[in-house]
Amino acid sequence: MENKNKFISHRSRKILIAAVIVAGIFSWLYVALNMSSLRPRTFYLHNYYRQPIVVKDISSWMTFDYINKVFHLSPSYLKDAFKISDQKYPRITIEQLSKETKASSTEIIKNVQNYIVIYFSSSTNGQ
Amino acid sequence: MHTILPSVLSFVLLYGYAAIFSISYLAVFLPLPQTVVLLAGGAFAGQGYLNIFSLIFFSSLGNILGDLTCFILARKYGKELLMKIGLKKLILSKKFTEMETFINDTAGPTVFISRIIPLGTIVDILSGLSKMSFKKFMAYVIAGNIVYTIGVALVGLFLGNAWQNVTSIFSAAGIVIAIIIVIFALSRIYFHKLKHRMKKTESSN
Repeated sequence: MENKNKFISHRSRKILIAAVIVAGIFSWLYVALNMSSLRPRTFYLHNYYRQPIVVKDISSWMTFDYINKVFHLSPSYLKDAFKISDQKYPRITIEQLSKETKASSTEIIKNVQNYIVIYFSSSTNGQ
Repeated sequence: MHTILPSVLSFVLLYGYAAIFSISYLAVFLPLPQTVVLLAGGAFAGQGYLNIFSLIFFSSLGNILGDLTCFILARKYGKELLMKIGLKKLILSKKFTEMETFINDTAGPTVFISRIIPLGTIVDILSGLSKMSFKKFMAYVIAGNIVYTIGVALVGLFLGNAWQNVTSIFSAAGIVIAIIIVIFALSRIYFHKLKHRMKKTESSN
């Protein structure tokens, strides 16, 4: 029993296939051209996967809870360092702290980065 | 999308799986950066902040329930609503009937593939309007959503912190797919008008 559905005609199908091939070629070109900027971060030297977070990736949308966990910090370290009195800590974002303290989030991020570096240098020296 | 992404990521970090579920559910109805959130979630799981299995479960559940809600609403009230807003001619047209036949004949691939490309909501609505079998729709929606969620979450897990570099590729891929759809729709309209003009010329001769 013939059941020719005219919703997509033969010609339209050819056009769609051609458009998909063209889009695929452009997508491949885009990835290939940007691969050099992706490679140092995507293909980490010792691991080919699970690129670890580094201090310069800290952003204002991150919570202190997240930062403490991924950088393996003591939960009260940053609280004491910034003298945070907010009861919601560590479930507050850098952006929220910036609004509460009226300091810019860029300044807070820089301070977080410095505190993390100090934390690990003092841990290394203590060993 | 870039202006709401930081807020959405904060929401995920603050409320965890409840946030993942609600974003996945609402992304069916609103333009939320669900793929990017899933990618980030995979990276967070790799960093030990979330559990990958819980991430996949809650994201899939949100997607599936969102799609089913959209389908049921379109099935129950879709045609009635379209008639009320003055699209009765469209509903009763031959093209609409052809669309219904096409959707029902190709239910599997259409519903499954539309979970991966950004056409999920449109296919949910069309499937509902076409009165597709609920069991059939649910089966393909569950399969498609699970495949999509696992795929994107594992990419995020694989990339780790490099996920932020890849979001631009996902955005570009979305734009490319949207351009393909627009080109396809315009070419259909063009060839349809050309065919109509040729028929008119033939009949006048």
